[in-house]
Amino acid sequence: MLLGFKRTKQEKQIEKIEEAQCKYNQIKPATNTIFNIILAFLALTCIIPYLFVIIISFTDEKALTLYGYQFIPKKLSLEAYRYVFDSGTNILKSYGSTITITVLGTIIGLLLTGTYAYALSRKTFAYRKFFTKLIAIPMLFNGGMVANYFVISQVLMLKNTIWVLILPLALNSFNIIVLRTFFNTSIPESVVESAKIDGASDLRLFFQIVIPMALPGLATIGLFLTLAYWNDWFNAMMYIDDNSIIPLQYLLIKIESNMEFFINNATVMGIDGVEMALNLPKESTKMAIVVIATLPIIFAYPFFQRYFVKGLTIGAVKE
Amino acid sequence: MKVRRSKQVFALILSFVLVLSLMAGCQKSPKVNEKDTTEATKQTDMNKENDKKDDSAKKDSGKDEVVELIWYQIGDPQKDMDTVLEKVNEYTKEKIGVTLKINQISWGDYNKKMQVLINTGDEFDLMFTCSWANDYVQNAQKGAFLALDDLLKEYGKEMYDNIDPKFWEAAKIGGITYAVPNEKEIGSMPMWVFTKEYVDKYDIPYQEIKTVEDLEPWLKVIKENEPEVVPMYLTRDFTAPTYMDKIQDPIGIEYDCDPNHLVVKNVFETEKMQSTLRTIREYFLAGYINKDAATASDDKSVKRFVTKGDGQPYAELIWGKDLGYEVVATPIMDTVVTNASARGAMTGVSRTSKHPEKAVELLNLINTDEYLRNLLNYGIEGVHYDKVDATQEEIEQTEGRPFVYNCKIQINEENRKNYSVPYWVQGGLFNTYVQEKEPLDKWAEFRDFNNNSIATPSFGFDFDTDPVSTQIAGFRGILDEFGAALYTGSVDPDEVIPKLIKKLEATGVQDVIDEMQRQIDEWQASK
Amino acid sequence: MQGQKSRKRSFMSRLKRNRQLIMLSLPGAIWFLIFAYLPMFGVIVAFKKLKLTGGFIKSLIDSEWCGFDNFRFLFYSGDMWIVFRNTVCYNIVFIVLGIVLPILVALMLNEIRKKTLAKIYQSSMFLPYFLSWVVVSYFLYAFLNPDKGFINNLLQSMGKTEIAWYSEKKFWPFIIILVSQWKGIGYNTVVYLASICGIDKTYYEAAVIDGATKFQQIKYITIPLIKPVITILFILSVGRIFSADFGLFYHIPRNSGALFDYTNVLDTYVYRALTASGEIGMSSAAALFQSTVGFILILTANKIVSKIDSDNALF
Repeated sequence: MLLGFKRTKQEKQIEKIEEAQCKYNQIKPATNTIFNIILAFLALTCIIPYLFVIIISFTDEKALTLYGYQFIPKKLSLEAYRYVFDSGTNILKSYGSTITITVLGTIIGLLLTGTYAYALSRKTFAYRKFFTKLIAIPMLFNGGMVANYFVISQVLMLKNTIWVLILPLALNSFNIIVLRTFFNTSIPESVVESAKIDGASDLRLFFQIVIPMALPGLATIGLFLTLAYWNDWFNAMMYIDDNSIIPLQYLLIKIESNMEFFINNATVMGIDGVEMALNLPKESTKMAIVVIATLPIIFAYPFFQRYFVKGLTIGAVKE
Repeated sequence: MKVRRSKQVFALILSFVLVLSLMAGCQKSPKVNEKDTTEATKQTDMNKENDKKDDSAKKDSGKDEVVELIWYQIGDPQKDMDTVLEKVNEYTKEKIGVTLKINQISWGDYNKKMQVLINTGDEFDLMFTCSWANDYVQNAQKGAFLALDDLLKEYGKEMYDNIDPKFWEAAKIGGITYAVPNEKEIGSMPMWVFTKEYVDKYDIPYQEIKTVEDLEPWLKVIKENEPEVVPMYLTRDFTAPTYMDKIQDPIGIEYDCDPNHLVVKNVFETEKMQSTLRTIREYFLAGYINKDAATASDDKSVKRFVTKGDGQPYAELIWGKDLGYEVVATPIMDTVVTNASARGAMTGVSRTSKHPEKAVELLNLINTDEYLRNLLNYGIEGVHYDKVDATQEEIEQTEGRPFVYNCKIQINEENRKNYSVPYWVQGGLFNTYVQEKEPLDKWAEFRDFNNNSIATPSFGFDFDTDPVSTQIAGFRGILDEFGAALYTGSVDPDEVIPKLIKKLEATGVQDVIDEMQRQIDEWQASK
Repeated sequence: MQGQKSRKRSFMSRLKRNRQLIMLSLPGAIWFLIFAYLPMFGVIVAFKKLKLTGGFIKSLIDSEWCGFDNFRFLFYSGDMWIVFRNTVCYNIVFIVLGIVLPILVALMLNEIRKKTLAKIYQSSMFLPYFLSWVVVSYFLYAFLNPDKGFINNLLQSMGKTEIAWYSEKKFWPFIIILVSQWKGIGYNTVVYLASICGIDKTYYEAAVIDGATKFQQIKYITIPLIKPVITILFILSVGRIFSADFGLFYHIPRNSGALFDYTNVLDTYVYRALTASGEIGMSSAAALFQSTVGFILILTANKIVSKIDSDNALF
């Protein structure tokens, strides 16, 4: 049920039934067209820049300097990709560690977030207020970069381990509160009550009833976690000295911040700055890195999407 | 049954996760834990700790135990760093009982990461510092570096003698040396950079062009005859030639100030800057300057006649490489030495280092040993570069000059991307090999260049920003707001400079001027 | 004596009754204690002048207190009024648009007949999220470049005068708002889509039987049922009203000084102020200021919401 892109025969059947049921509750064809036009326009404004990025990554660098960004490049070249694959970072290894961290992190994060949010959602929980306040305060108040570094590297000693890339991102107050709200709204009180009458404990309630019904919410938080892990570069920069496990995003951010640094310090660095800037990857390479870094997650996105686009709500538990 | 099982599974997963995270935490040896708690509770006099370390270190060097030093450097991590370090460590282990671990941190991240490492008392030995990265003065004032004077006398004698005393003078803050300077060019040399093609075409005596005003007739020539070429190409990071040591932008002391009576001024209030800005404005209105100068970043495809660059001897070679065509350059003003320019690259020893003597010994070795210095600089011979014999002619010509080897090197283009470090980060440049296309006596030239640079009247003065840090915090925003537009002539200086000064005054610039004047007077009196 | 004993007994029994839920929340609670509360002592850096004398803890203890000195730079400059105004005003617009727009899009996506099309639209709208602000700024520059930009070329071909986009500040509020919504629309829509998805279909069936129009269905079923999500997101974003997305306000306008009146926000102001001094006391003070104001605002918003609709308040 959870894994795999292919939908099972059962799911396809349910979808057909739902579509048939919905047929009589559809909007007028005219409205449908209008909506389609608006949404298509929006979608296009979002796709075109990304397409552009892909095109630029395949454009020859010289053509870029001479003609700027062109939709139909004057000259194609694989040089950018060759450069990235040849460079210091082992792309495959980078992918590998990023994927491992993302998958592990999302699972751990969902577990921790889900259990906490569920406890918060139960109105019978006597300590609900306390535990809510517990996570509300850190939402805003932060010890600061230095104190965080101190705790993580000198107290917990997680520096240069894989856990430093997983644990700090596993939980955050926003996710817990949103998930709690999802639990509250998607689980009708009647269902809970009837289960309680049947003698179900809180734990059983959680696993057998709540989770199946709150799939959209879980998928949402799961998506947020996956994106957070996939895009994280800050923790890698701060805590990882070994360059073989740096995430891909960090590569791009590094280039951008290096560029920024050379611009801001052009006068003081003088000719040294010029020399160093010579070594910076060029436009097309930057775009290639964007593509390499984001393509996998874009392919993973449909996996989450099926849970919150109407058409697939398994487990509509009725009485 | 099912309930109990899922409960068990769940409990298992949770405990698994928790245990793993705890295990990860307890990985390192308990010794480090101890250090933190004892430091927090015990009355630790830093010197006492250092003495203890010294003793153990002295014992180490006596017993020839190998010590690992950790060095943080700026620059992008290189693929072949490990292989190079292997060779380095072979050598250094034998010579001084030291192995080296270099952590390279990329340019944009260096400041942030070093700040965190220093503030949390992370353990390491050496770090790169200068006036524009991991700020030397601030960190020294905060207590991040060890005082090196005694260590230098004992472990760094050769390097101390070899390096230009002006560098050592600049390295002193409050009379104490906190870092070893990496010898390179000492002064700042703003230059006009001309595209050779047009210089040749119109027979332009570029070497006589000095001030902004001098450019005028030639800009006119280019504008009239070359419609495709931007006469004066400026970008958003351009600053007009400034005849002032900007100790705290925009406050400083003019170069031509009477050395016995130093006066602190706001650069935008000086006659010189105001007239320069008016001239540039004229050029902008006449169409000599590109219209998007205030927001442009260097677009290499734009054909230009002249730009400004901050140079050093033989800089034209690098500019030419960058642009793809030949350029010639001429200095705008005499080369001056300021504190900031003399602190262009240094290496400091962290106060958390357990082996400060070994650290200084290592630096000494790097700055004097031909093999080690070039290994770190260029990589492994035969892999990253090859030696090329110098011609007999060259050897004869440069006979008797310092810093001359009898060979040059040719960098292996294939492998260069696997090991390409900023040369001036690890040590001085003068004992490195020169590259093929450079003159054999390049470093002798640099030495001459340094000797001919004039120290500004304010050389040696360090401004303690503490009393006025609040006011200074507001400057950068204001300078960013008006700077680019003013310097590139995009706005009328007569209109905008009063606005800028007014904003600066609202942010307390007068306090800063007064405070700096007070400190300078004190410093002068004590000289 | 008797009272104490019975209180203890009822405490223990309450603990026992809730033990499963406590167990469920324990892992998360431990995480927060370690990763959020433990480092919190770092806020005192905002009140001290940090001098390094030993390990971090020792340095903190040894350094002297300096009261609110580190906060002064936030209020010293004459510009602060503009900075605060920009930060708050933009955020208010973002909060409103950030709720209205995604809901509209989510509703539309839900009603489209062809589900596959809806999925394609939704996936596409997510793409801008993957581009960093720097990359977006390149594209915007390609559009707005005064010399070779797309828009100016268009204007020129139509015979109108070109506009110096990066020097004229009056257009920028619109540009900033447009760009920020474009980038966030995909991400923000997800939450609302998910909550609409969770609405029980029987409600709609009953409504159709009663003869309700689509519009009525939305007004009386959909919106009320996703109100909890809207409320929570609203309260949470109010807490961040003094924080701005740095990338948006720094990279998109290319740090152009002429636009500062409309693009300088608290985060960019602090960044510029501290690139020079790097004093961590001051950056800590700025963060503490943002947090405190945000916290007060969240409490206020929460109080107001709990008066109106106590179920959906934060706590």
